Amino acid sequence: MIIPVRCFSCGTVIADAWEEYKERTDAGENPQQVLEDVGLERYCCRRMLLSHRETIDEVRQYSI
Amino acid sequence: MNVEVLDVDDREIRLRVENTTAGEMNALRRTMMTEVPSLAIEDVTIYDNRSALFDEVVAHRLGQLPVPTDPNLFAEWDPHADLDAQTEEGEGAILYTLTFEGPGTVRAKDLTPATEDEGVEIADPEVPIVKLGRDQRLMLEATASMGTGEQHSKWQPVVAVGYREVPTVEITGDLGLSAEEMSELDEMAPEDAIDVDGGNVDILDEVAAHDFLYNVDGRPELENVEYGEEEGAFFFRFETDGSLSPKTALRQAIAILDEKLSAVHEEAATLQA
Repeated sequence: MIIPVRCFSCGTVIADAWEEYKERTDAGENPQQVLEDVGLERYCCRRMLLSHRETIDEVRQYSI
Repeated sequence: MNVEVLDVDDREIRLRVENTTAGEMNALRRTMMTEVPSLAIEDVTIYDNRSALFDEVVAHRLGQLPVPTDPNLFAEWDPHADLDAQTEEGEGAILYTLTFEGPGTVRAKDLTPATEDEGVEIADPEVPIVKLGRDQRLMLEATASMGTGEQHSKWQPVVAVGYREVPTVEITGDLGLSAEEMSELDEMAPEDAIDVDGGNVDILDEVAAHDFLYNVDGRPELENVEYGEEEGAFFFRFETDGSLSPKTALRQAIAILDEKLSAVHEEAATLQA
């Protein structure tokens, strides 16, 4: 739905890295490089962004 | 016990500890995770939520935000008091209000502290809480109160706490490599770990060299390399979520551990028959 606030495994706050990650990878940058730049070192935190699909933009159109 | 700070910044610290045991390192690690108190949002009153997320999801996201914690609160805080009573009485509690009209992204920085005290803004201000569309609105009050990681992990001020033995590696003789394998090894090795010069291998950084030689798959088979660890020496490292500085978290953990052990010590003294 929306990017989780924290990494499920270690508890690092990762939500504030999502927008930069999304923008830069959409522009064609290598995810590995972006993840390093936003300071996510561990693979538990990196998978939070790598595997995320943001659906709230679609869902919110149908709120009552 | 001998402690050296290798590296510290506002969220991360690395220590080298000597003359200790894995047991002591683990006691410190577990104390940091479960017993060092910090602030986190515990009570949320939602007045209006027309967003795509349910009230409880919004409240859950708010709970996970790192709230800067004044170290002076530690002295006043009683870990055994009833949690509900603490929130109501508000020992160190911070009230935040939030009103946001869509469209737009509600962020942690939109939480406005109701106090004029400084340094109570959420530590990671850009965290998105929810995205609102047109005609959507979020209005709420949130109260941050003290708690420990033992109660809920949102109160755990530290992240990725860990320790490892200080490794050693020694090349005691000929590695038994052909010239071809030697250049293969050189190519695979991280720059700071080892230096391969013809048939000779120099260890540049013992930890990096150990990790490379000991762990890497697919490297040529090596002879005459001895791996070990320094007696009683550990690397201890952790990060904080921004609610406390690493040094404050460490000091507080040590104080809590010290207090607990003193209690056992005093009790034990009365046992002598």
